[in-house]
Amino acid sequence: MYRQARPTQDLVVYAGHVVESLLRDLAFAMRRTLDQPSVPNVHDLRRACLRLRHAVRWLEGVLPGPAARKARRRLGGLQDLLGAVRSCDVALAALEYHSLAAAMTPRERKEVVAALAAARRHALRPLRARLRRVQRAEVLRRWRAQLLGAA
Amino acid sequence: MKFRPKRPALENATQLLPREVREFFKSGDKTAHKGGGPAKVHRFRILTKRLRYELEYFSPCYGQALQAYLELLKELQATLGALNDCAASRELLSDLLEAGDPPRRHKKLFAALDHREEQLLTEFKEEWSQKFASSELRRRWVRYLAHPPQRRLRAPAKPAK
Repeated sequence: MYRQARPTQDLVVYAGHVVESLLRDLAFAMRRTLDQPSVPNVHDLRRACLRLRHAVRWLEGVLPGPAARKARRRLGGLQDLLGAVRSCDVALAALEYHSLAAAMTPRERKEVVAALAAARRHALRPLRARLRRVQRAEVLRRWRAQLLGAA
Repeated sequence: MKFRPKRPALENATQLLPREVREFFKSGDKTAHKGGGPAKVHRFRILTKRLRYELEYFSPCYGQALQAYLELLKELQATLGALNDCAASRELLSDLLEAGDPPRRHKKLFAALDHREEQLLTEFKEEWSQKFASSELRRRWVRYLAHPPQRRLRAPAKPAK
């Protein structure tokens, strides 16, 4: 996963390689979600976002402070938008459990699924707008330069 | 300061990760045995996820055996995640369906969600006692994280001239 990272490198260099790899994963997942905001793509992007955000938080003191704080804040915003879509996907998947499916009449099920699908469409709009903005402004490239400046 | 940025990654990992895993065991015991409510289970789920990420960040410092430890965390996370999914689904569906609290409509659906949550909580407790409660297993975790295989401690070989 972190192919450039070596145990003998000092932590600043090592953390740089880890963050670089996580930024690459995030960029890839973002492109895929913009092309096709399917359930697995949104899930992968959310995981990539969580991994990078936690790395930036956990490695505080190793990465440049102001850049790390700014990246964390913006990743937090993105995570909220992703979370809103993901919650709908999770609830839709939960309805598939046989005990839950059996607890609804077909009409009720239709009503619940329609409500969740509408909520997902609604939550997807600001997410796509944010992803496009991030891509247009080359935010990830800037973060890479700022976060890895010290490495 | 928890890290020493100028010291090798391996040295940082072997000092920090055993502490983190001890914290994880302590928190898991509390959640599994002392009547952890949904909020406690949620906090422990987050802690498990963070520990897994941290082990992954330092995976180049450890041998292949780390995968087995990561796999255990992944399985635990799946149970905790399913539990969280139930709670999140209930919250979202309550809002969307104007079901109220307690829900006035779709009573059976909400009762089934509660039942599923109880089942998963039992599964989590069983999984914890089977895979994480043994003190020998815990010692093994800590020993492995504090003393990874020796071959990893050597600097990479210089290329031949």
